[in-house]
Amino acid sequence: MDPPASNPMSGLSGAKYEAEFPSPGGTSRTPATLGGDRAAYGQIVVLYQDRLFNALLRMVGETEEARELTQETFARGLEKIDTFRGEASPYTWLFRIGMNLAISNLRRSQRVRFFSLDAGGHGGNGTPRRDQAAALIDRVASAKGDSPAQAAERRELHQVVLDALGRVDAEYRAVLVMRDVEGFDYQQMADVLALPLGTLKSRLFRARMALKDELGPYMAERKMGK
Amino acid sequence: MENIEAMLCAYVEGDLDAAGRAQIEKHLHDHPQHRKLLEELTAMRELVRGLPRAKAPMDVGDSLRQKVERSMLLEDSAAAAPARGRVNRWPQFFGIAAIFLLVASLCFILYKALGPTWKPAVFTQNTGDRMPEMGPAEQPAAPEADVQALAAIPLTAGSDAIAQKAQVFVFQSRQAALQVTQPDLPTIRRRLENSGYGIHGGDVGGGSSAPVLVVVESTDLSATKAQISRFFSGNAGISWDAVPAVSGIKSEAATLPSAAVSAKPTATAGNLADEKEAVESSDLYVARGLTPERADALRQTLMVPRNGSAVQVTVQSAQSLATTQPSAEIVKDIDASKAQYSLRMPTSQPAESGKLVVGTMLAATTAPSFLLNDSRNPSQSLPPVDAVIVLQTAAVPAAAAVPATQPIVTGQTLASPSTQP
Repeated sequence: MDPPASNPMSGLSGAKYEAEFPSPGGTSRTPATLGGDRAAYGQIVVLYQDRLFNALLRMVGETEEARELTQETFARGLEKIDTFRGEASPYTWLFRIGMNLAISNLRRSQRVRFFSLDAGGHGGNGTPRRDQAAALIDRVASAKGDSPAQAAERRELHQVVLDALGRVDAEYRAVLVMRDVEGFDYQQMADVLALPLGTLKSRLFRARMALKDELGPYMAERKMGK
Repeated sequence: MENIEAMLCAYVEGDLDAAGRAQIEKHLHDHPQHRKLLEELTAMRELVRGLPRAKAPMDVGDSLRQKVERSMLLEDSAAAAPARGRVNRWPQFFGIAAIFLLVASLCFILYKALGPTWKPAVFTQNTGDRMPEMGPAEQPAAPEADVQALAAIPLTAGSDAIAQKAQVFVFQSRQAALQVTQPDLPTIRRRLENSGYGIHGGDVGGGSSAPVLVVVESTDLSATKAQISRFFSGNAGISWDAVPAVSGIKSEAATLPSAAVSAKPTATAGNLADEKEAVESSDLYVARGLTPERADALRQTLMVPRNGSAVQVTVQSAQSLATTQPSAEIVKDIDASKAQYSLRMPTSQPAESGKLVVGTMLAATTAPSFLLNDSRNPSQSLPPVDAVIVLQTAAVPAAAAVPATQPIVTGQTLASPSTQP
């Protein structure tokens, strides 16, 4: 099974590879047998770090903050690994930790966030670093045979979506990230957010409406441009 | 509302069941603008899903891997630790328990060995606390009644001044040995007044001691009375009167056949049979020449009871029996010796207002003495007495009963007033 980060769209079907994951010995192990196994936790870090980082980046919008949150999530998971009983998949369990940390961070710092494909990230030595997502987009666009103009337009679209995503409430952003970025099913989302299914669906609908309100002017302009 | 939103959400997601989808389609057919809205929502969903996926920075996993490795190493160490690192703390617990046991045993032995004689004289300041160490089981309701009765007595400024500076010496018997009752001080005082006795504290400035009240509690009253009679007979200079229980008749002084007193003419100076009869017929006596030192000697005599009886003797000031007030000179003397009293006061607790505080000057080396005259009957010249002796029957609690052959030795040696702490 390929690691999820190798396929840019694998997040849409994230649940399908959570049923089992490779153990250090190469044999498949069910998540239920993970509890208390610190050696297997290293494999989890390798397996899920990209996916978790991406989800948290879409939540907080800043590369450095997403990196710290990812590390903090894995650290918290390591501390609590003895409590993992396999009732949820390892990633759902980690994602819940990370999402709570992200929402807590967002609530604590009520500052305006600018979501960007460049993400404002810097390297460890303080020099500007080109956002990996933007580079990935370029590669994908190139692979699709897009012209430079089409690639630029695609980048602009993504930036607009990210900006709109950054402006909706954190609770709405969380369900949108879980559903559209992570590809969680309703039950996984309900587990993470501890919400009834009906309430979850209602919140998802409202989140989409909120995002539409943010994206509406751009979409109208784009339609007029066409 | 929530249901409708949930249904619309499911429609956008494409996972609505057939019935629900038909219901929505029917609605959208009637409301084309809503169809447009849902199409926009679906389009935006695809936009979010089309966002590029970012890869984690390289150092995310590095620090975590280091943590995991460190954790695994610590886990291994912790797994290996118990055999060599865990300290067996049971010996410490046993050691501490042994120390506590040893201390408790030592305290018990000391209490058993020294308990009956170890207890010092009790110093109190007011009648309510006169026997504070008796414990609840030995404190009958009477003391509180006494205090209330005494509190009802109007105090003059002078006696109040004395009360604030004086103290009481109580020599009580072994704790829990006797079930005693407090003497009925108001009744005793009434009997003394009706019999015409005054409480003589000695001449002012003469160095005499204040009058004392000796309360004798005994389980064998006749044997104790015989002891008292013998004590009086064996000590020259002591004369005594039995105070009748009925008012208005003053008993004649029963003079003991001592050389010093026998020469003193008394109406009934007579034979020992009369004396014995007088002693045994009353429980209240007044005595002259029974100084505090002699009162202590009497106490010590009674502390060796006869016939296996148990005795308790309380020596305190007889001032509580007086209704008179001291002269201004006496109050002045008391004020002058305030510092000395203060040094000897065992407690700094002030006398409660409204209570008659019994006091004595026994503790003062230069105790100002005073003559207590009945201020209500100034013309009446009362024969002063040095001591008032009250005899009461005491019961032995069942729990404290001892074989008749084993006398209960109670109390302790009364130190000289001048050496009291």
